[in-house]
Amino acid sequence: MPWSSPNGRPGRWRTLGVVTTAGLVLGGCAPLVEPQTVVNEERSGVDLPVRKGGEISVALDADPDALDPTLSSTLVGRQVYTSVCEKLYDVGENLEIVPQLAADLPEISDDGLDVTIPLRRDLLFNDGTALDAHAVKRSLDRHREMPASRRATELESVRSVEVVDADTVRLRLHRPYAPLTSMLADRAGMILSPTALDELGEDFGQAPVCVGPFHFVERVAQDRIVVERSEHYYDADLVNLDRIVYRPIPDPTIRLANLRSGQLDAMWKVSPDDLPAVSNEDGLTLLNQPSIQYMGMSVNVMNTDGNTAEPGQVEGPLAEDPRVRQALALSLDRDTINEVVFSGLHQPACGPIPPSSEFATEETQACPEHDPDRARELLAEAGVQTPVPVELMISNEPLTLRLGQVIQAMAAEAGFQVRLRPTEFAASIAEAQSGNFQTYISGWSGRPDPDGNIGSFHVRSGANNYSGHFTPETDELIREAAEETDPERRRDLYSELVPRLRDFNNIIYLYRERLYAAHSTDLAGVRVYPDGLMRFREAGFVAEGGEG
Amino acid sequence: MGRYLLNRLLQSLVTLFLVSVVIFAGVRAMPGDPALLLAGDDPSPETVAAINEQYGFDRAWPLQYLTWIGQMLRWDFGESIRTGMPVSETILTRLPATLELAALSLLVAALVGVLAGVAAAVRQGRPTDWLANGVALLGLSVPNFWLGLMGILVFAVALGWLPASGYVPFFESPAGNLASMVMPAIVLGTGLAAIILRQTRSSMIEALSSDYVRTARAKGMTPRRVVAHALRNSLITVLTILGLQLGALISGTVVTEQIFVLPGFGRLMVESVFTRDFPVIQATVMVTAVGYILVNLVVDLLYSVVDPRIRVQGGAR
Repeated sequence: MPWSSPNGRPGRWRTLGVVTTAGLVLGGCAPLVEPQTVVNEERSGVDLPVRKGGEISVALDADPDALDPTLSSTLVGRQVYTSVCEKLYDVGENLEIVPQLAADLPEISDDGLDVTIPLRRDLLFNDGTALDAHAVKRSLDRHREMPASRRATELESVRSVEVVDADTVRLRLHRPYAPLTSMLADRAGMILSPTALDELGEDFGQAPVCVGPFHFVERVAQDRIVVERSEHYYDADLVNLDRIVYRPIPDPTIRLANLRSGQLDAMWKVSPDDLPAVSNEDGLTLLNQPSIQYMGMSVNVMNTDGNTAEPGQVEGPLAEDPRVRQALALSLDRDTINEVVFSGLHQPACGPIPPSSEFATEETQACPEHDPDRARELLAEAGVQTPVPVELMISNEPLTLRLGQVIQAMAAEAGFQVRLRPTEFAASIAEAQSGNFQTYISGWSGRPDPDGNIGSFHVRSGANNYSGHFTPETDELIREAAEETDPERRRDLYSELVPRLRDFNNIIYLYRERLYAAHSTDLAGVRVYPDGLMRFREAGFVAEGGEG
Repeated sequence: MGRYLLNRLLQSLVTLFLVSVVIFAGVRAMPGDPALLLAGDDPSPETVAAINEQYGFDRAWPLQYLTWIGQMLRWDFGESIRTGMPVSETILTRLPATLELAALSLLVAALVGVLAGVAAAVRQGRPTDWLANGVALLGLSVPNFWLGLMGILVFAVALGWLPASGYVPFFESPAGNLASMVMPAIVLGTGLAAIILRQTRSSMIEALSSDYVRTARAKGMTPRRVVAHALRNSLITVLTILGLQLGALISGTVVTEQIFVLPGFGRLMVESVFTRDFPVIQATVMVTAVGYILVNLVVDLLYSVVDPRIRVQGGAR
């Protein structure tokens, strides 16, 4: 039996053979599965009967920041919160807002200024403290008022939080604000145990206590975050796993090797290069979801002195003439970018609103065709001397650099001479904010509500408006859309707004990542939704005989 | 001896002072603003200002520097601005893995390097020598991240003999600890072993052709004792190399810890640079500097043990 090992783990020698062979012919082998097949097999989770108990290790792609919902700002931190800190509202499989700690969707007064939230009864924090309206008020006020709170902007529209009775809170607003419910479906809606707040105060993040299927046990920075099943959780019957160990492992190759060797049970973010193999591999389950994030190229138009300072006009044809920006946008073939750089595993994007959003319309999803001829014409019309020099600031990771090189080649065809400026992430953000760039490729993790993907990126002096570009008309339209509480009218407003933003080409939207997570086939019930979070609430080890 | 030590300690203090100035200025000269990184997705200028105030980044540099030095003297490195956890605690939890990794790979390197180097020197020009030189060249040329990944693919993924990652403290499970450290130690030790091998070989060849060895041979000393005799005299160069290679070893731990996901000091240092976690960067660099100075002091003291002609007294070295 040359292909099985004596210790009852068949396949090892075969794997060794494959590894050795793969090593020998590395670089010359075709993918095992067509990428298109991988993309088509969309799956948010596997449903199989599971048993109670067990411990799993889960790899994250980075180490979260402080585990204090008021202070944290990383996407990776939210992965851990799904286990330990529930929110007033949650995001469902189709990005719809559903109640979590709230008993129902909020009741909004006719003028849009009073938002009344009924709470679920008999909820306990993971330290046994009861959750009531006072606790909710205290957390929301902390998010709003604590100095250095990262939630302050999200809850800016809230004037005050009132306790109506033990099971009801009312938010009084300065102005109507439609995205508020979706803010409360993220960290701004996380409710912290008042007992723990009394005890830890500003150090809450060192031992966070909320309502959640698991409670926080320990954290060793950059090594692990351990959570265990909570006895106080309202749906404790649904929780199967005893313990989850989150481990930050930044390198995707190493994450995958650890998943294959059994050191890990689940991992976030499989690299596009590995996907064809993983999708076909015995013992591994691939979860695949469209995302609400995007990557785009910001063009510095009016950011002369820092993006939150007074806007001015940047010099040069790219900043001064919208036709030159349009030419640059038309020179890029999004499908080819996706094919060449990401083996077709991501999704071309042309605007800030993802196709999965309830606000997606034909107008918001429209995409200008790749047209290098028209691009050259536009450059001629603009009367600029070709090649037009363009400096592209880009993160110094291999995959992003590949993206930069493809853009370089495409833009050259239309008459641009793109020079890449690889810059480390932290440095690039500082450069982008202070306006020391010409073009810059960056990503946005995305929000379920469209305003979260548009507002701060396009309004005058917006916190994420690296381009600095704005017009009073679109600013007004953005504000109007955010205040509109009727979904139908709001959809119309975005259908009007997004094409106008697209024509500015101050952000040239490029693609949306698809989300790929993988776990061992021993597990079931792990959920990944388009918001990019892994949920382990109902996950467990597949029961004997439940093998599918 | 005492005076020499005192002298060295004073020198070390000066070095540490300079290191502290350089690192303090260095982190602040880095492009990228920690408060901006911390402020999150949609920061208001007020939030950024509040963060700067919270960590004292808004104060004058000399004041920040003095505060930092004052804290350090009380073994207080402040809190990580990213995780909010005390830095001194984090460092203490991260040191064991790195110290063990460094010690084990030194052991691997010294054992393999010295033994193979002696064998190559004794059989100079013969197949053993050729083999040792070839292997040394390979060890020097193969980057350790590649070696590590291949090790994981073969021994963890395919064969399942060793864990691909993780660290088990020695006192929790000695066997588990060893299993988790074997691959990292070999991967990190390979390059160093190659250097030691070549160094041992050349200094052994020199020693073996020297007058005192010829005399010893002529007096009828057994070949084994002749080799031992020459080895002791060759070791001094090997020791020097070990001391000098410490820097390479520390940077090697960074890569090795990334590959094997060890909760070590090197990873802490690198990742805190990416997140602009000033207090952690400053503390880790200071601790590394102290370690470097201590090891070099120990190496200098060891010279006199290996070679009594070198006397440390009065700084006559």
